[in-house]
Amino acid sequence: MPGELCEKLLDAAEKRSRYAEVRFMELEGSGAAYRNGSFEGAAYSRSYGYSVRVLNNSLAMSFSNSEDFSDLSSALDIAVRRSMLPGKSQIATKSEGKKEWVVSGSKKVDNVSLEDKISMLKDNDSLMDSLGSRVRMNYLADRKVKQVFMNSEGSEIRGEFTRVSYFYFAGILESGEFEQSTGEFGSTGGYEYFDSLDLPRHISDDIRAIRNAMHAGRLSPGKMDVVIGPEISGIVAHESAGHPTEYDRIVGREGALAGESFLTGKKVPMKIGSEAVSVIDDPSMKGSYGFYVYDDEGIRSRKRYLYRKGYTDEFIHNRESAARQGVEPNGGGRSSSWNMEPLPRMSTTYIEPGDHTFEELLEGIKEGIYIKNFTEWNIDDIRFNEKYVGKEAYRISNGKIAEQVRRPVIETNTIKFYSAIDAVAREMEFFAGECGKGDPEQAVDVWMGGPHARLRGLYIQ
Amino acid sequence: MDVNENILKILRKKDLTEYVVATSVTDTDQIRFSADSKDLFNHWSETSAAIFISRGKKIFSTTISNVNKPEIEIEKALSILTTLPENSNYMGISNSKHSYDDLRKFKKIDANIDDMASTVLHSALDSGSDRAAGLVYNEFSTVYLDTQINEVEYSEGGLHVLVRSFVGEGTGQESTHLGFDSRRSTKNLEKMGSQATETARLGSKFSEGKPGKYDVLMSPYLVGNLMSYGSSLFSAYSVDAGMSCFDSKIGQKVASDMVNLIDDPRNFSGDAAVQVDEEATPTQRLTMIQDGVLKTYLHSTSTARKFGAETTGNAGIISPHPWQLNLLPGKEKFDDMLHEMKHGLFIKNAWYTRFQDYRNGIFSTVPRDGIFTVENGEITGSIRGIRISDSIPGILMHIEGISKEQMNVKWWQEIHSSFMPYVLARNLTISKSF
Repeated sequence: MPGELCEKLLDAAEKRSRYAEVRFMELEGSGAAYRNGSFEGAAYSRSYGYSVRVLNNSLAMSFSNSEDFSDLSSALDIAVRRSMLPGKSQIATKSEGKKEWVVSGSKKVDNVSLEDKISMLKDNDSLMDSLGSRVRMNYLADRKVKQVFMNSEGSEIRGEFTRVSYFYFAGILESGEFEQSTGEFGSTGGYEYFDSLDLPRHISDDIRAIRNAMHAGRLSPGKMDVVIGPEISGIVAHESAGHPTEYDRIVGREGALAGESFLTGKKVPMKIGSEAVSVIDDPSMKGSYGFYVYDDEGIRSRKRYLYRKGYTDEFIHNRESAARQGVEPNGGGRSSSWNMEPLPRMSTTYIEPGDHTFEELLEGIKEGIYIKNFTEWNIDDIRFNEKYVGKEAYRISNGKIAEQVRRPVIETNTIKFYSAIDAVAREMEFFAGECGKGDPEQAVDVWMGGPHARLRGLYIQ
Repeated sequence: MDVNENILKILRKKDLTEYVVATSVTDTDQIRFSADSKDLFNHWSETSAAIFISRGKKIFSTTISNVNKPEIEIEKALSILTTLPENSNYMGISNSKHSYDDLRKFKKIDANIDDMASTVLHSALDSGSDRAAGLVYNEFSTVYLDTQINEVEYSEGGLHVLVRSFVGEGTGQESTHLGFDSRRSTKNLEKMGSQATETARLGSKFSEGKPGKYDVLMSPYLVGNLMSYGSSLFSAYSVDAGMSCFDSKIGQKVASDMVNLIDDPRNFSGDAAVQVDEEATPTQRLTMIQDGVLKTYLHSTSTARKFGAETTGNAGIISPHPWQLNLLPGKEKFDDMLHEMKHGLFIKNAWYTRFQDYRNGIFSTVPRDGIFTVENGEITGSIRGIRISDSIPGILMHIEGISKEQMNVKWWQEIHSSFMPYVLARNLTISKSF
């Protein structure tokens, strides 16, 4: 049975190190795709293996997927030998004792037939076709994850969970003009998620919106009041609150790759926006695509305020970064697979809801713009200079939604964006994503979303 | 292949039309460093098999860890295959028997990556960097690939050294990449850190950029980034899916006359050299754009049959892709290109390239690690807060200079390993944050 060598490997590792960890992870994934009216194919993967991390004069890790203990011993030898050389040598050694957790949902992934999955893909492809989308891709996936984490301080955390996800791409082509859209949805649990999602409504609304956008006029650039939808408040929270508060970025450990943070070298708490803004990252939100009870380093997950009432608050930590700051790890250590190092990562990131309705946000605007969601986006490597191109957007006139406009652009910086927010709505909506970081690059499942929010005097291009 | 034998024994008995088994045995080391010291050493020892099976137009892919006891996973894959609908776009894999007579054998590069990390880190710090970050990789995999008619064993990997230096708010980045047959040496590591620091120092005093149309001199890193993100547009899969700006452009002008773009998988000085594709077809030096004219899409056997073409040795069975792009050198010296620039920008790198319109290739990307203003042939200052907001076809058509000098560039997921020169493109749209 794969994974049975954890204890033996830890015994060997802790005899040769000041601190040792062993992690076994098994990932079993299935997926199927439909493209432009044709079944594209299906895939299944099963991957498992061990990682061992040791601390002596420095930190070192070895990854092996052998079930032969002599191979694992050889991998351990390499890590121990390298850890005797100089390097950074801080890691939080906290133990959470012996714990187990399981999340599998009510409609378990093993109980949903491939036939039903393909039927769902085919129905959505047909729906897109009927709405005039010539370019179509639909992809449905599920994943089962089992993990054992043990360390030399007595932690033994056993976790099992399943996740389901759906991705689509739709494109409308008319006379050389093209509008495209993607949708990503996901949940930790089973296929019951799709029963409440109403995916056909999302797809229909989306395709009608991009078709209308193709015929919409452009906005004259200028400063104006803006209402952003949950998809934009979510991506902003993720990109310019979540990433810059990952502590490994702040201290430069990702400096050559995903970059540092605009908070690097700054005195904190630092004012980043108006009092109306608080941003939360919460891996304990049940059902979310980023949900987990214990992180991939065996630390209990919990809600964290990244920004609170306009100021920076808590940072996202794994064991290594927590030791660098001299605080307790806060459950942010995530790894996409057994062969990837855990890094400080987000889970579900969102602007904290306020007490307005959507209509109340609009009422306060004489002339402005409502940008519901986005297409192209990007941000610089310190997470300060960012751009979001509106996919579905409308002019606001005298507190009411007016005509649709095409591809308005928010191109601003983090401080200006959060400082312009003066009101936040009550209702929240979330979308799934894959967040990339590290080298080798590893994508982890996240949720982004939140409420509508109103910004005053933002420059729109 | 012996490594695949337990898998092949099962597959041969199962009335499959085609199969591909590719088992990778990986032995890779990495050191990461930041600030003033090393962060972590990583070692990977991994075996996994990627398996593709077909019965008629029914296809299925699976990846498994345990190649010695694959029975459960293989039987599961076979039972799923039976229940699947057909993929009407699938046209089969190669049925040509290959001898692989010219196949070259390689070993893992012998390198002390710990010493190399120390050298490049101290090169940055000793030259005045506030801090530096980077990594050294020594990657090596042996791939054992079997199809129903071919068997081949080959190696993949290379050595990569990357450093990014920080001076105030300025940053600079340099890298070195060695393939198995590279004539380049690692002697330049002692200069890499200081070169990155010099770029960072130049960028530490900056002003806000202004939007508008600019002539842009692009470094090999920036060109590599744009080509990497644009490369999927050349895939027959993207064209067939309706997601390429090169749809129906074979034989047409898609770039300025001086643009010659090839896929160069047999260039073993690069670390992305590959000798066979994912269906065991030998790879080839492939001309994609010649004198500005699009010559071919990238094909597997399946896409080639659908398009009435020949495979180009670029499988991905379903979705072909380039291996190691090479934008061929031009006639000018980089120094001359810079000195002849009246008014424009010199940009060294970019990241986070995202498309709002694949069909027309419209995107934006965020410059980094050196964004300089150029006036009358001299670098006059540094700016920040800008984007290149343009299109791949637009940039290709506006190229008016390509340097003699070329670099092997690669960086994280942002730049696929490739050979790129300096490129001058006229009249690009630069946007900025407000």
